[in-house]
Amino acid sequence: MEDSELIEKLKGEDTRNYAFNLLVRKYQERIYWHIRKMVLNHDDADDLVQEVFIKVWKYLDNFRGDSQLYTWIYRIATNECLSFLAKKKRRFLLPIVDVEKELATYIDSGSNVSGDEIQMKLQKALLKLPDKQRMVFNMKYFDEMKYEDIAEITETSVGALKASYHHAVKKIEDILNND
Amino acid sequence: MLFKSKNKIMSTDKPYKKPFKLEEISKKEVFSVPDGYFDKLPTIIQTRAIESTKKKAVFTPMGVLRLAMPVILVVLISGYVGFKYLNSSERKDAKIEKMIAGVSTEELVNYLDNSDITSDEILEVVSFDGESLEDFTPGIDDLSNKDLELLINDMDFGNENSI
Repeated sequence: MEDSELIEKLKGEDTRNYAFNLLVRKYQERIYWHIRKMVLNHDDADDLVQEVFIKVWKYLDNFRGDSQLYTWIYRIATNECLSFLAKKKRRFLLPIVDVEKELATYIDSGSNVSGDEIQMKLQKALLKLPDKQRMVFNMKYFDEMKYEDIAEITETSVGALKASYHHAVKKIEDILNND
Repeated sequence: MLFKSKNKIMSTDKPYKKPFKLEEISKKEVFSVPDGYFDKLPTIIQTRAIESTKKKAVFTPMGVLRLAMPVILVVLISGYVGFKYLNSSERKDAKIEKMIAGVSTEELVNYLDNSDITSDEILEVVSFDGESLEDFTPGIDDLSNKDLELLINDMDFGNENSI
């Protein structure tokens, strides 16, 4: 079902529940993986993906339709994710490097993680990026999203995003080559 | 790494390693999810969404208490501060004076008529230092002797306790 049709059904009282179910089915995997690549742990990703869709449900009336439905949902997910990571750093009073270490340990543990050596190295190299830059990198590199859409989600200019992505790629290649 | 120098092939300690290029790394997903996770997730989310709508409409006593707590705290603190202020000695005196000033002469006369307080008891607590008769009975100096005689005759001085 097209987003425009979905939005129409979400507005109707009788069709709201049904349309919301369709919306979750349509976007759950993309949103889950978007979050999972940031928080790494499945349980955290599970909590966050549920929170994101609950917020979508609550604030549906605020969706004005001047952005695409999927970029609006992505924006909610992105904000949830970044505040979760920021809270995590504050809660444990840990410097950034320790959270990075904690996430790297999760990759090494191999629970719900599998891949060849270079892919694992890539995941660990990504942790060296600041959270926001890592998020942009994931959307461009893994999700292959257009800069225009990422700009709408992150409320950043396309120029700034291109520079950020280019810088992230260079940094990751340097890390992998010096490892 | 290998390089040529004066027609000889030289080698460094480290073997040559081809530099990594990001585009050469496959984008295979390295993380996995429990079996059937995406089949169950929509139901879980839908249930939570509907519950959140219900919760919005129903006010539980604990919920109301939690919402009202800031207001209750403000009222309690204001009440305590106000109580302390009203009970300070200066405030107390000012309050009593204000209360007495608000009582009409008629009410005072009625009260004294119906109470057991005697004239002597009143005189015991009233100080007349530096006061003249004129202060209590304004206009008495203007009375003529005849007027005074009439006034005395109207009053009963038979009882030595009366004024």
